[in-house]
Amino acid sequence: MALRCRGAAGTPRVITVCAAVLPWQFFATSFGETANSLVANSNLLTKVYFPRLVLPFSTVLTSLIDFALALAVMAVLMIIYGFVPGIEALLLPFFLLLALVASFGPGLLIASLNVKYRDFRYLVPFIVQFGLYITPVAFSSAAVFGNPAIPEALKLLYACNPMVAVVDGFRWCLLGGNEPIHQTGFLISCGASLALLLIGVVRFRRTERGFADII
Amino acid sequence: MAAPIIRVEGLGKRYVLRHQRAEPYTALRDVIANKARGLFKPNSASEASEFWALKDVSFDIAPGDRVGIIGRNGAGKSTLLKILSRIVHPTLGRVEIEGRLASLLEVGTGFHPELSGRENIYLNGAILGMGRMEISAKFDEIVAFAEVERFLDTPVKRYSSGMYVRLAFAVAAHLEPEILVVDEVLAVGDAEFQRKCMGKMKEVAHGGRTILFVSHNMAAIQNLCSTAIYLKHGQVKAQGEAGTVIAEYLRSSSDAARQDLALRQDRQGNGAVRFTAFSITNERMEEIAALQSGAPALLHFDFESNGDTRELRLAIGIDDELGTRVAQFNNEATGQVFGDATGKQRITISLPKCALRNGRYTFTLFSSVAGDTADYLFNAGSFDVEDGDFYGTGKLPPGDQGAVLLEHSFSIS
Repeated sequence: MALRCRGAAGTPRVITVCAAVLPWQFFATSFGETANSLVANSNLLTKVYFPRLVLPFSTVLTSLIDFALALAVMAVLMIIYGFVPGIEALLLPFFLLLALVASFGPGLLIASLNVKYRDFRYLVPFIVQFGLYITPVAFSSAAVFGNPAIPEALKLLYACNPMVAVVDGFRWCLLGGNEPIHQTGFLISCGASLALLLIGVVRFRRTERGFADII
Repeated sequence: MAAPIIRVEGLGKRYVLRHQRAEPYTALRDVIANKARGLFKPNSASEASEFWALKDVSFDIAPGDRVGIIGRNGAGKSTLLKILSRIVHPTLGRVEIEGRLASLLEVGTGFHPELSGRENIYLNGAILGMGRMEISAKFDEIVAFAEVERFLDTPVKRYSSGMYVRLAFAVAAHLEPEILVVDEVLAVGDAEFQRKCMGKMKEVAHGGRTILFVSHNMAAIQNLCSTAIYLKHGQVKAQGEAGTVIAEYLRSSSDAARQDLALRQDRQGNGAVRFTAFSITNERMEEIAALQSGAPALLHFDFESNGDTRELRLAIGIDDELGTRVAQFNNEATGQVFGDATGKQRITISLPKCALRNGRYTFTLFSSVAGDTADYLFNAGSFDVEDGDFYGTGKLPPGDQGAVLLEHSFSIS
């Protein structure tokens, strides 16, 4: 069958791509919703007191439901292609958590900036669109790290994208050992994720007192 | 006195007012553009001015107190409640609250229009800090109180505003917070429901809980509250036993006819004359709050002039609530010429018999010196006119019949 063209190491191409689209879609929705969460709930924000972090956090959690549905579709695809994931798939929750962190950090940052400067919301679709091209969804990380033509500095920059670790992780999980993780790249990417989370939370905590005043 | 449950010290809240802003919100690109523009035009006047919604407010509230907060619109009552509810953060000072505080600042806070009444009770309760079990235990009581049994499964977007308010209040009142903060939200319900709310609040208060209650309804305050705080221009003007504070409030708000015009910025003219104040007195020169149809009154306009005021012309236009000019006072028309008037001056317009009907009137002040506009204040201020016995017959002229009262008599032949 034409569709059954093989990806790297004999995994169906559709499965390889879907394994990356899955976390990417999760990132896109949860990042977008988080960034918009404060402004969308401004009526609540100005009327009731509650820990402000609840708003962005609950939106991330609701996008987990979308993720669960997408995961079911993925399972159907796997059955159609007769693809059985390995024992690594049990580590999926860990990488899901990583995806959560990767979208929550930047989402918080944009959310708190969005309260003051409303034009930050225009940045969100741009980040999601552009991010798709620098994240290994349509290609594989191995093709980047293993390509001698790409300078080391550029590889480092590539690894600074928090979603690189998430997508690589998902591929590794769902496709079994067929898609090995580039360790240094993975660690750098995770570091970037955590750093963004820290920046996001700090920025959020610093500005949350004024939210009700300026929203 | 027991240790206070709420302690407020030196509270201040500053807002920055920005003028001439076209967009409803700030955009970073505008901020950058304005900064860049500022580089080339360094002397462009700052467009921001400060406004202290609350200034140096301090008070203690003991557990179980029922405190009424009164003051005119814009006195800072709602800001105070918002700070106490931790929604906004004070610029200065601090607030210490011991215990759980639930606030009902606006109708249907945290109601989701798409959800049914039943779901909203849970949602609202959760937002106000009640657990699921707690709400379930009180669910029937809440529903009965709000009188919305039949509509429990209707989305609240289809509720009438009265049902909305009843449900919102019912949820808040059945919370068991140590402190209940209620802003003027009950005005929507009908008299019967308001009575019920007052009863509930009394019940809540007798349960030893503390209540903070904002209202313009003095009877409600007097009825419910043991103590009161009177806010004026963001400062505590009076505080203490409810009756005394209410009396103080009524007294000081009744001299509101006196208006300070010195700080008005929206004036035009060369400034040779500047209007500074307006007041009304009766013929015994005692300040009064409002004119009365048929009664004599004196309107006083204070102004300052800085030099030559020959050919001083003063015109005061009176507009009714719809903006229709109903009268004008004009010294040219009355043929009165003023001589040299330097420094602080007061012109007095004597009305032997006020012909205006009941209502609120705004006045516009105009003055010119030697033909040039000296000071022009559009809608400088307002005054009220109360109905009175214009014709001296012991009867009030019938309402809604005509805009002014004309002296007249009938004869038959």
